[in-house]
Amino acid sequence: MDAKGAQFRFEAFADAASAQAAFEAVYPIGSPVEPALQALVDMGGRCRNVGPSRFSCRYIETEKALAGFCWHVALDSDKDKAIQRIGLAVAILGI
Amino acid sequence: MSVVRVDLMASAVGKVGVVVWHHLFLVAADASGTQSYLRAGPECLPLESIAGRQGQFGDALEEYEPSPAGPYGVITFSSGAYEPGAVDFDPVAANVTLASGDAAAKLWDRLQHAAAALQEEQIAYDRIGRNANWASMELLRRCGVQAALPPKRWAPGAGELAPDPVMQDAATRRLGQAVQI
Repeated sequence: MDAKGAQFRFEAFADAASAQAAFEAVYPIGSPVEPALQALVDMGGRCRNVGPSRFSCRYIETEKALAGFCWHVALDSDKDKAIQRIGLAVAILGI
Repeated sequence: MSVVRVDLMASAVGKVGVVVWHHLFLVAADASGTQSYLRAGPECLPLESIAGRQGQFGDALEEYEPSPAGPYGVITFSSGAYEPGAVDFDPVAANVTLASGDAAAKLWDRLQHAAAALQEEQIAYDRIGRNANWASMELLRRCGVQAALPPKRWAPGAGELAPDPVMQDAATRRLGQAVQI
């Protein structure tokens, strides 16, 4: 994980708005999408390409606790692979 | 949204040893392919899960209100667009189609009403009993759908039966007390 990636941890947040603000501070609109994706993968997120320039990532905190936060991040990029939009949602996930 | 298909989804969310457990939720699609979800979950998390976290207005603990129903509160339902970045979105989730065509539209409508009714019952969330999987399957049972899980998917709670009011009362009696049913 790069130094920027280390600055962002989902575990520091309790709602989507605060997490999205922090995520956008580290990976602003217009910055390259690849470091953001790499950081999400490095922290244990599962990322998939769901369109030509659209990525969907999921980070589950609940794997051991049976219930916890589950974060979802959508990243849209342009032809230059720069972030165009960040969508972030969180749910309390319980089996 | 004119629903033409309703699916039961099973998304892998964790492991116990080598066994993967799955979270169940429901997804409806219209003719254009637009999808919506209906999902159950706990109302809240225990205090220790919130401690040290930041909320929109600062320390999340300052906004924390414990639920009288217990550390996870009651079973709650939510719905919305099922798309990348949305809650529960999992492009590789397993699915079982429950209804198609006109039957799907009717089923989706009944599921919405069943979810509202179940939420009003204020059932305490139990991670290993009446949990989100139980709630999703209970909705289907209340709508008369005998759904099977996608093959080889383990979803704890899915097979739990609804609480029997008579047995619930009996369980609160002291040992040795006569029980009249």
